Amino acid sequence: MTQSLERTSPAPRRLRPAGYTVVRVGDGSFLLHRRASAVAVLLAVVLAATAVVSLCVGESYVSPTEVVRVLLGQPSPDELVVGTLRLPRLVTGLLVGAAFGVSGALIQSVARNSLASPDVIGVTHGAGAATVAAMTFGITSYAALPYVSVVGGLSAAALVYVFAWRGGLHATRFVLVGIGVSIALGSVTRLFLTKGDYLVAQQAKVWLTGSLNGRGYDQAAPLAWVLLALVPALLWAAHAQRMVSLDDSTATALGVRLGPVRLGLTALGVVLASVATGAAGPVDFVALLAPQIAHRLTRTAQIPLLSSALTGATIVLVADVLARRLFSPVELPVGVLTAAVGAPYLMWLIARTRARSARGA
Amino acid sequence: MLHRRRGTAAVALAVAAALSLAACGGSNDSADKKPAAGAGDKKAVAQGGDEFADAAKKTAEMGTDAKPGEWPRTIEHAMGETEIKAQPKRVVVLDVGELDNVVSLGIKPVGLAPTEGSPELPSYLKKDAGNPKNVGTINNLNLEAIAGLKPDLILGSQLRAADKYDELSQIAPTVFSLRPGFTWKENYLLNAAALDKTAEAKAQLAAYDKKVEELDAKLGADKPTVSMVRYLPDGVIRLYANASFIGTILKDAGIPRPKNQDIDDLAAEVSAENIDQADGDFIFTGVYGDAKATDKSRAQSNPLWKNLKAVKEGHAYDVPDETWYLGLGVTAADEVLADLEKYLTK
Amino acid sequence: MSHATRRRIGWTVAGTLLLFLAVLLSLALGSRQIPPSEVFDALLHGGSGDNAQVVRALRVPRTVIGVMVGLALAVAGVVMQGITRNPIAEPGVLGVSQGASLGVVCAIAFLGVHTPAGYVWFAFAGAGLAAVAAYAVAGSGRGGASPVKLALAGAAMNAFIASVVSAIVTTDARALDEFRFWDVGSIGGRDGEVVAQTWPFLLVGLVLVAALARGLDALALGDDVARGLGHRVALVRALGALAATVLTGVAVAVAGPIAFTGLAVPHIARALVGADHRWVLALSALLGPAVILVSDVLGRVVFAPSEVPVAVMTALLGVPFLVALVRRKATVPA
Repeated sequence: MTQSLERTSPAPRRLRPAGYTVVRVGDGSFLLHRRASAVAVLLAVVLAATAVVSLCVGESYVSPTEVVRVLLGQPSPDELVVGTLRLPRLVTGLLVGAAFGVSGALIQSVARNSLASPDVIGVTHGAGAATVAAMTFGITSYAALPYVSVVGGLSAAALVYVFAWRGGLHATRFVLVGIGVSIALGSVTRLFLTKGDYLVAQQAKVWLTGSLNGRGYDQAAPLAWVLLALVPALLWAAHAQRMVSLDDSTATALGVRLGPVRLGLTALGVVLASVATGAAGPVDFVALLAPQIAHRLTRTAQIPLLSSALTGATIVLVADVLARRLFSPVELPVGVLTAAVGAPYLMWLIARTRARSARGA
Repeated sequence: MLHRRRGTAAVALAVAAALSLAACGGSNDSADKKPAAGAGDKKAVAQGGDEFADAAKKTAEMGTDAKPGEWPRTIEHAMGETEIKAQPKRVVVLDVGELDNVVSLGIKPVGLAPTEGSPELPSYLKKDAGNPKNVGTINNLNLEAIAGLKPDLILGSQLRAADKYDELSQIAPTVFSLRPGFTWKENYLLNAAALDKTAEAKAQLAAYDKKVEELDAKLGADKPTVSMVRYLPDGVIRLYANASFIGTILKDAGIPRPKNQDIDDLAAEVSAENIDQADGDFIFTGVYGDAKATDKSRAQSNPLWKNLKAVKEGHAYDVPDETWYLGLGVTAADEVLADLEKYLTK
Repeated sequence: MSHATRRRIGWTVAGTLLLFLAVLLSLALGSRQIPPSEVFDALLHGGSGDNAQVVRALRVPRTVIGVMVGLALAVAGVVMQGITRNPIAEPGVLGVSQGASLGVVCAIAFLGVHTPAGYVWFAFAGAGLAAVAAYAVAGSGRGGASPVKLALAGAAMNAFIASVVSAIVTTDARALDEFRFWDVGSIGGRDGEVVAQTWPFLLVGLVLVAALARGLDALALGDDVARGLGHRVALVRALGALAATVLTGVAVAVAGPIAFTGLAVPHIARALVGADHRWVLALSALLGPAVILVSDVLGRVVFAPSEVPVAVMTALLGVPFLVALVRRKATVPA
């Protein structure tokens, strides 16, 4: 996005905080964080490179030139492998990763706690329980499951919200209740797995670890539409993020009502995570990792949404390439790899959190 | 205090909701299924009652109008119509049933998706199956591995792989039956139609019919009841009924079943406490996967088991799971018939 | 006799009755319907009828296993909460049980250890490693282990172990069946033989804990006070951790991972008899088995004739408890 922006003569120095550049587009102008923009561009380049690698490697190697030919729609002997098998999967992974990344960024902003993520507050487990329940009742079409999953994720988050609300929303309570509800939903999932037909249980287990295998445009399309529809909301979110970083007393002094803003941002994050889970199953810890990495790179005051999306997409694509290749011809579910990396990272985060800040506020 | 009470109420409500959700899940689940004969500890495990009954008929209507040797031919199957240009040479099979089908027709498949539990070829098909390449597992197909084999025909079933049909059909012509299991004869003919081997398949089925008649004659009018017990992981014990692979073979041979297994369903479930309901003149036991992961030792070390008529008379046998219960084709059926003859005419 | 003591004795008697009732329920209810009179007959006079056989061969071992597991988990929970001074500490939530079960599975699948007496050591090793890791992670950083850090460390531990398990299972089909067995805790489907092979370890753990009761009381007052009272704080912690590891290891080796019993029971016991660890331990030792047995009976009845594993039931029943706990001010400073 940055390359299309026209940079003009710098604004008077006193109006501009350090590290920002004023950008004028037509009549309007806004501040652009120089480092954040550079990071976003860099991440986009890395993502593009990863995408190309992801299209090149697999059971058979396809050269990058051949990949580009397929992408440009020119006839190629690798049309089937690249265009039909790898590209839809790539697109799904990209969108899923981006959605998880933004979702994590929003929820971590609201919680003001780097440990909060949709995995922790019950969204993915809710989606999982609902989907397995649906499968048990004979809804096995991958077209219908995303909707079930969204409903499950939203309900679980609502449940956590209600349980954790006690005259206010406290980050610590939110996380603890989220863990509890996640465990309960995990049990409900097992209940349905035990109850259900053996074959269905096998399929459900593959889904439950988060997999991009066989996912294509059918799953990517609803996700893409939702992301597109949420663009205005995301623009608002980027702005609103700044508000929730205020503490309660400052916000009150400035006349900002934080409650609705927090609720709005959380809801947005939950919807994104649910839709992404619906498309690929619970790909664990991407929502936790992506915003953290992006935030560390940009060093901005707020967690950067665009960079989080790019990082999330990159993580999922890298994990998927590894998942396909490590134990070929058996494919690991991509969620196994993200969890294997994400869980130790979470532990490291916990280890270096001071107890006071972990307690929230 | 008010807060506290409201919180407790909210928690209680949520628990109630979770439990009732689970409970109505349970009741709904069993409501779909036909009640098993007899009282108490039985549960049907098939899914989708109507589809179940019609599956054989529907599969029988699929196939082709093409004459032998006529190419290209159009095959009507579970996912629609598919055109096959020429006699397929490189076949990928997505389940054990299709493997049995093509191997019995003298074709060595180039790719196979085995079950999660047993990555090897079933031993009864090993010598004629060649060396098919592994293409993932039944529930986790590796599409690229399939594409890499450059197949010219893919055989599978809607129940197992409907969600990947779009991709598969772009790799090669793909023919799906409705489901594996008790429709094995119809599936066989459907697969044979795609391979232009209908005559061979019919001959194999005729040979099977002949063996069935011989067994029927040998056993005479007064046949023993045969009870089918299978141990699965997580403490599941199934008594296999009529709408199963083994059920169809026993029915063909006119061998009577205990009342609780003479139902139009895949199987009835019992627990170790009720293993006495598995009684019959003969009991044939199979184990899915590793016996240690099942309730077999617990059920069989139980005095209840030892008190069963068949066990006391020495008429309880362990049989190979891969033919009797996992088997889904004519080769497995022939093996089962041979086993039956061995045990029942001893 | 003081009022407090009478109250404590009263609750302990009530706990004993509750456990007795739970044992009766566990023996009387199941997927096979057996009249209570026949259950008593089978227990008191033997008998060789089918029903008597079922009671003696299937229900008695199951009940004994339930008692063992409940006892081990509840006492382990008391000790963990005592030595960490953390209300959230519990074998399941901290990932210690999952660690133990991973240990067992590796022993069976890769080292060919098949007897409970053999793999219980691997359960200890797995439990110990997971406990140390979870606590080290949560406890490092300034301020030590807060409830939320401990819970998150446990959640991360569980997620990590789950991903390791998935990776092994996806690539090694033979390991799959073993894992399936150790994935969800259940007290049905286990042989009575495991009891015979593991009870000495349970005994060792319990004796150790009994000896530590005073030390745990002192720890509750804070490290400095405990030291002032002449307790060797580090030693109490170390022995406590050892006891909790052994108890968790036994429970997992017998029944697989079961969460929340070790969380809920100590809190209930403390609410009833106060903070004195000797009473809390005694009441927990009665309530733990009762909770496991009642959960198991519910699991047998709710979806009869299929059975729901006891670990699923304890999680469903235990989570509301966790939520209620979190909502109390004491756990989370608002």
